[in-house]
Amino acid sequence: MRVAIADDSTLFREGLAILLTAAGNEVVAQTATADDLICGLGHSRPDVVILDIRMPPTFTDEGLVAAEQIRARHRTIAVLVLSTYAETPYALRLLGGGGGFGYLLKDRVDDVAALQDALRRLIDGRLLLDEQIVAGLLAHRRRADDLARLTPRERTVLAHMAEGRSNHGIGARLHLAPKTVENHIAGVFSKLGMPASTDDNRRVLAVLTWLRTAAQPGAAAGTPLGAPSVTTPGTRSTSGSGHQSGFSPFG
Amino acid sequence: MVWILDGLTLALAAAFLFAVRGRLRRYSELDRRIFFPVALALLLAFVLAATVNFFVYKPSDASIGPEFIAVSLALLAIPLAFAAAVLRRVFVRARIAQLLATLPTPPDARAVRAALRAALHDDSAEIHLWLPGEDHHVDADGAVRPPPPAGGAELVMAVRTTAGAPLAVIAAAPAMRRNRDLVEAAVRASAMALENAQLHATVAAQLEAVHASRARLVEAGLHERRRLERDLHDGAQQRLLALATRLGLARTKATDPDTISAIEAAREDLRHALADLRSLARGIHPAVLSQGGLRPALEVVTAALPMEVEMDVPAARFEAVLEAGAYYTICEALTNTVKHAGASRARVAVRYDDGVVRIDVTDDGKGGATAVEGGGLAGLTDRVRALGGALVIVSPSGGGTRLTASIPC
Repeated sequence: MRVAIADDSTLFREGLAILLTAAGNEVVAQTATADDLICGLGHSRPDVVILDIRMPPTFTDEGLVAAEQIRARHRTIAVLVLSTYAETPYALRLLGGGGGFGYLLKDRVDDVAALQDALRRLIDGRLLLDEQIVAGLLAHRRRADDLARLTPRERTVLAHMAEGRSNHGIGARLHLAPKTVENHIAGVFSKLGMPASTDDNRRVLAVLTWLRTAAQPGAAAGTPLGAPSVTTPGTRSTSGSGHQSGFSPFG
Repeated sequence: MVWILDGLTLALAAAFLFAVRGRLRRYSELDRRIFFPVALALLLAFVLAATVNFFVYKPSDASIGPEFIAVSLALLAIPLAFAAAVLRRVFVRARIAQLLATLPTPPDARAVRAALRAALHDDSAEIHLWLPGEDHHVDADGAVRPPPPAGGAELVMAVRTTAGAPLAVIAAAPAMRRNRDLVEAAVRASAMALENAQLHATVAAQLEAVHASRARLVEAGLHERRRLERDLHDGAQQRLLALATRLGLARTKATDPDTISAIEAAREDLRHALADLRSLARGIHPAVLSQGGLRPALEVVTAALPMEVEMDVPAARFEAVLEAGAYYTICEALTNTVKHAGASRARVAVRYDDGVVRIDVTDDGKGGATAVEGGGLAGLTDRVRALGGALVIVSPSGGGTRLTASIPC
């Protein structure tokens, strides 16, 4: 696949390019800023772009802004945002935008097979969320009672769903037959009171919405039953939607 | 009748001579030169009139001509006018004393100036207060303003403290030179008030300097934290991440099982190193705070806490210093709650209202929290004060803890 990389750290960018090339990909563009990458997209025509979050000029969220721009202008290009930190609010801001989006810790570059798999899933239009963020969401005390009703196997399946894996992907990871995976998923959905969905991306968002809503006391009133429908994280009434608004009215 | 008038005229002339002698001694050389011939001429006129009346003028009958009464009254008006002038000066002095007595406590230089201007009927009068700590003069409005030079057109008068140190320089309109004695009296009377005002102004200036330097320190501290975090991010973290790509590459090339297991072990160590570095950098300054503001930064923190935390935090952005101050204050408060309160839930509320950000952190724990010197709560108080704010902790035993910080912005 054709990959374009924007990262202001030359060392990391080149290391990643060498790694991806060795794995059989074609690195069609390497830039230090998101703007340079976007300018060259018509020429480089990548299948997937890999963006660092913090890049010049402000070193804040250039990568996220660029990711949203690319998705708005080039629907066919998948976007993987790499971050030094696993920031849940950012990950969810991205995933609200639909399929072909991914958010991973930079640390994941030490496993080229997993990285390659992630890129392939993104190009297939899937959503992708770093396991550390999913683990953080699952570890929240607020959800402990509901999650305690799941079997250990069901919890693992839930985590994989939240990370954006399909039934097939989950089966492959856990060495389970497709039928068994389906049974576990059905168990998770009925125990947590989540609306079932056959669309993988909608399912990821449903799972994340459930996890996030349950993390907000008051929003779910302690019970998952009253909580989420299949919506994007951005449409919820409480926290999580507003951090995109950016600038202070107070100067 | 004529005799009585004559006697009165002579007595007045003597009194006038006495009064003029006394005044002349106190007048400036210039005033004396102007005043002396006039006084001499007037005195001569008196004596002449009295002498003519007494010895030369022999009225044929007891009745007095009307022209004589007019001349006598005009002559009489002259010393009376002088007496009135003296009285008015006495009144002005009394007015100065009265105005200065009604100054506010502590008196500020502006009030003293207003009293001086009113007493001297000179709206250009200015007080140049000397600030010993600052080594410059300020006018009554607090603006730095050197006094006019002593030899200039304006009347300039230096005032010293009771200990003899420089206190102020008072400048009045050039016309006030003629009333130098009045200005002097006013200045003497206001010296005590000015000394208080000087102390007041000095303390106010020092306080302002302390506030400014504290704000600079807070800013510098934040700047330094951000720089450190950025250095870690751009330096060590990216270097280690580049190393991760190389290990990833080595892993794909390796075929020998021993090499593979060595690479796996190195990879595992590297993951730990990266995780350690990440938590160190986050502790120094969370990147998400600069990137997204208070709310996402607090979401990251509260998600990891072993208790329920309800958040009511606006998504709006504030000044970086304020965001960082509020962030660390809330983190510290939540840490205390987790460590000491035994609480099952906490609530964080941030409100912006009319130039003040109000932070409330409440929990349902056991309460009884007190600020001990060097303890967490004392540190919190310092942190909030450094931002020019105030911190209130209400923590009744068994009744939970409410921490309220108000920070101006």
